[in-house]
Parts: sequence; C-alpha cells; structure tokens
Amino acid sequence: MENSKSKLFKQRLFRIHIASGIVFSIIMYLAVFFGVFAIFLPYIQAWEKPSRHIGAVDIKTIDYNYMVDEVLNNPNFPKNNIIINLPGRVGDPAVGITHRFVSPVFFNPHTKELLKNEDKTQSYLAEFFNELHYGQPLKLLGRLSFGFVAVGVMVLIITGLILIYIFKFNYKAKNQQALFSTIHVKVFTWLFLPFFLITLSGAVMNIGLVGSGPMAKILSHGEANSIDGVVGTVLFPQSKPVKSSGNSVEMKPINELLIKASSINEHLVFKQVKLINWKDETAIVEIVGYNPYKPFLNGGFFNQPSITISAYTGEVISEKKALDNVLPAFIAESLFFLHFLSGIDIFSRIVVGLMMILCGIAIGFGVMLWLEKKAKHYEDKITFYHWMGKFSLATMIGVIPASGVILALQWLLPFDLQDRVLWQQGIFYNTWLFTLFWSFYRINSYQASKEFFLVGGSLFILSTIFHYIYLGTTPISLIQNNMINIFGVDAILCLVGFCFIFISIKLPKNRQEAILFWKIQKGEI
Amino acid sequence: MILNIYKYLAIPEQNGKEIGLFRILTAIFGGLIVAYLGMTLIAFIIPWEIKESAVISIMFNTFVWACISTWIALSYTKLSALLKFLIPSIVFSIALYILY
Repeated sequence: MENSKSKLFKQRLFRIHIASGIVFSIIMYLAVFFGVFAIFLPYIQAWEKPSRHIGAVDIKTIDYNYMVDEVLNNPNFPKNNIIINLPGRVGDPAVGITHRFVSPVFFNPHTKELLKNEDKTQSYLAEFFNELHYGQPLKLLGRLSFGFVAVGVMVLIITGLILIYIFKFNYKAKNQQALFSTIHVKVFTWLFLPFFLITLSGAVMNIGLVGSGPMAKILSHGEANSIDGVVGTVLFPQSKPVKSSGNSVEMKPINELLIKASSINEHLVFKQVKLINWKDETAIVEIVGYNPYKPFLNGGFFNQPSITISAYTGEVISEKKALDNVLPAFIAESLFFLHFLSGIDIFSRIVVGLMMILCGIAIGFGVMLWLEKKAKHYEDKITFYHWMGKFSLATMIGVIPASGVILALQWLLPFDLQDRVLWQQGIFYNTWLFTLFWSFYRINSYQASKEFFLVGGSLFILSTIFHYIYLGTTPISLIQNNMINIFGVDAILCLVGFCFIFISIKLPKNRQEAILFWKIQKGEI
Repeated sequence: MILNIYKYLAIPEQNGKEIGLFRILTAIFGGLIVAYLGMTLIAFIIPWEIKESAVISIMFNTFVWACISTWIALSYTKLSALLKFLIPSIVFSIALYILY
C-alpha cells in the first residue's frame, strides 16, 4: 500500500513535469529568446534610430531651460508636471521632454536642436522584440497565454526541484538521451533561482495584475475597481500638488540644480527631472535617480530615490534616500529587479543575458530528450520522431533566421518607405512561417538546423554591414565620436552571427553522426 | 449512482502514467480558486495596513497558484484532489465573508 502510493507519486511527478514541459516549452523558449533581446533593449533602441546616433554627453552641462521654453512655446503642451528624461536614461542619448498625456519631444543635447524622432511607423525594432517577449502582438489573448505559461513554468520549476531532490540523477552520461538529461538537469540546478524570479515577475505582470480586479474589490470593501486603487499609494507614491502663487519669476538653470543635487547625495545617478509649477514662485524640481550601490532595492518602478529642490531659490526641500521606504515596496522591487534591470550597467546585463541563454538551451535540450524518448525505431535503422520535433525546430531554431531578417531589414529598407514597420514585421513573420515549411521539406532535421544557423548567422553579420553602409561611416569613427554603445551593438551582433555560423559548421549532419558527435564532445572517443 | 461516483473518485488509479482530465481541470481551476481566495485572505491576516499587505498578495498569487496546482495534481486519489480544492475554498470563502 505505502509502496504503491509512493510509486504513484513518483510516476505522477514525472508525468506532470513531462506533460507540462512539452505544452509550455515552446512559448517559454520564445519568451526567453526575445527576452534576451529585451535585456539589451536600451542599446538596440539607440542602435535602430539614425536620429539617436549622438555621442554621450555629461548631463550637467546641458541647457535644459532653453529646451523647456521651446516646448512651452507650443500652446498645446501642458504647462504643469512636465517630465524631462535625462540623456542616458534607458540608453537614450537624447533629452526627452514629455508629460503623462502627450507624446514626448526630443532634443539633441549637443546642439539644442529639435530631433526628428522616428515614430512607431518608421522604426519599431527593440520595442517589437519586447512585445514578442510577452505576447503583446496577440493583445490580451497573447499576454494572458504568456502569463499562463509563466505559471506553468513555475509548476515545472517546483516539480523539477522535487525530482532532483528525490532522484539522484546519474551524471555519468552513457548515451545521447542521458547526456541531454544531464545538460537539462545541471543547467537548471544552477540557474533555477534567477529563472524563477524572472518567471514569477513575468507571471505577476501578465496574469496577476490583469486578474486582480475582484481581489481589489474585496480588499477595499467594494471601493476600488482595480488594484491600483489599493496598492497605488504604496507602490507609486505621488507627491502632493503644490498650490501655485501666480507670481511669474525667473527659474534657476536645471543643470545647476543637478550639480547641487549630486553634491547632496553623490551616490545617486540621475535619470529624470519632474517640473512642478514651472515659472511660478512655488516651482520645484523633483530629481529622480537610483543608487547603483543598493541593487535589488531601488531604481525600478516602486522605489525611486529623489531630491526635491526649489527652482526659484535653489534650496533643498526634501530628500528621499534609497532605503526610505516600506517593506512591501522593497519586496516588489527586488522581485522585479532581475526582470527589468533598471539602471544596470552592461556587464550585469551580459551576465543575466548569458544565464537566460543557458536556460533557453536547457529548455531546448529538455524537448530533445522528450523527442528521443518518444522516437520510434524500426529494425534499429529508421528512426521516426514525433511531429512536434519539426514544429519545435521551426519555432526554436527557425526564429534565428527570422530575427536575422528583421535586423537586416532595419537598415535595408529606406526610412521614408510607407508602412515601413509593417513591411518589416510582415517579412519577419513570413520568414518564420517559411522555416516551418522548410523543416518539413528537409526530411533530415539536422541539415535543416545547420541551414537555419548558417542563414541566421549570416543575416546577423549582414545587418551590421548594412548599418555602416547606411551611415556611410566606419566603426572607428563611431568610437571616436563617443558612440561606443552603438558600436557595441554591432560588435555583439557580429559576434553572435559568427557563433551561429560556427555552430552550423560544427553540428552533425545526420543521426549516426550525431550519436558519435555527443560521444566526441564527452571525450569518450 | 452516488456510490458509483464515490467509487470512481475514491479508488486510486492503477498507475500514474496518465494524469487524466479530472485532475488537470481540478488542478488548474481549483488551484486558481484556492490560491486567489487564500491570497486575498492573507492580505487581511498580515498585520500591516491593507494597502501594504495587498502588495504581498498580488506579487505571490501566481506562485501560490502554481504550488497549489502541483499539490492537487499529485494527490493519491481523485477524491482527495477534489477535497483539496473544496475544503480550503469553502473555509477561505467563509473567512472572507466574515471579514468583508
């Protein structure tokens, strides 16, 4: 009795892990794949727009007041609560002046000129990758299903951890299957914690917040209709409105106020300035930043340290330090930290990116393990795989040439083309669909994946070449003009492209070779 | 009739190689209801202000959903799966009704 109970438990545990693994793996892989692009979103955002090919500049030397006056000359622009996004915020080298209800206006910090910003119909690359990352192209349906997949992945993490705990997985891999299993188990034994934190915050955003209406209703005894009404004051505290006096006065230069603010708290990196009652005697600027020495605790959405200064007299009104907040705000902040990496430098981004690439590979090996177990062998010669193999080949590897196409088209299509983004995205989807056709057309999946890697890698490299042809410049002149962040994107794209081509050359050509291949990798032959 | 349903629910399956539709549905939807009610209740129980404890509820309710779904799907018989869904949701509902 007891014996059969534990046998049933173990069988079910395996079955749940395998069944939900196959159901959720494809979407989770896509979320991870595009998520890696989204990690580098700030850099791609500057790379994709010719108007953002501006050298980095010291934020304390820019004449912001002139730009604000320029914006206020437009009678349709709101006069109060103007927000200035400082250069360097999410990788944007331009100064952005915006307001909650209007679209932002951008200035070149060197020349103070208005920038011709490419809008959503001209350039929408980084943001498109981000939308693919959380299912936005399918609107609410996509977001909910990606959120549901995130919950499913948490089930997989829980069952996977119990499996690792109960079964001592044998690390001396004897055959192909065992090696796949080893890679899958090893990667996730090491990386389950960051993977879990990122999945959990993803699930909160796509399902937790969307479905929180009834909970808000109960918690507020029927007053609030959305969760914002309950937790809004904790997570998104708003400063109280200041009554304006009506006396118009001259404002202090904002860059001087920035210098003053950094003398008060030298650890803060500033990213945003809020102007309240601008041009009035009561005018104040709220300078928002983050403290890079306190990771996981500040700088994201929920806990933003700030310094408030009077724009008329220049005296400090209040200071909010990185640790001045309530416990729930810190919990929310640290949960979302790995997902958004707000204000994180390139090295930490690369570390998180590499961890996620490993997780993606481990998901892929999990699917391959399932396919190997499901494969039917006839007379030990012919091997049939489940159709899922072709489908996952097209989605998981086929997405590489499709992404290569969208990157190359970014600089190949003229910027004044009508419906430019529509063409770009349309060709992307069609290429992706074509890879599905191609994986069925090529009966040998090994050959198909070699081709996908080769084409994808070449397109990644081509996109950087097209970039320089469009700009009519050289990498060296980019570096000399302080545009290392833009050159870096080209360098990484090239590097990734060469990696793909290398993988394409190294991969085995057929099943017999593959079995040998994995043995050679293990050093057995 | 009722005895047949009881037998169907209470006799454990021969093996665990198939999860079965009953368990899948109870795990997904039952788990959702239990987790949602439970996390709403947690916000009342944590001795902070509602607006602060509600943060904990929304941040963790999807994770609790995943945990409870696993817990329900792994139960020995279908009956225990059903009870793992019914008893907590009834208890939580009554508690929420009192607190509301």
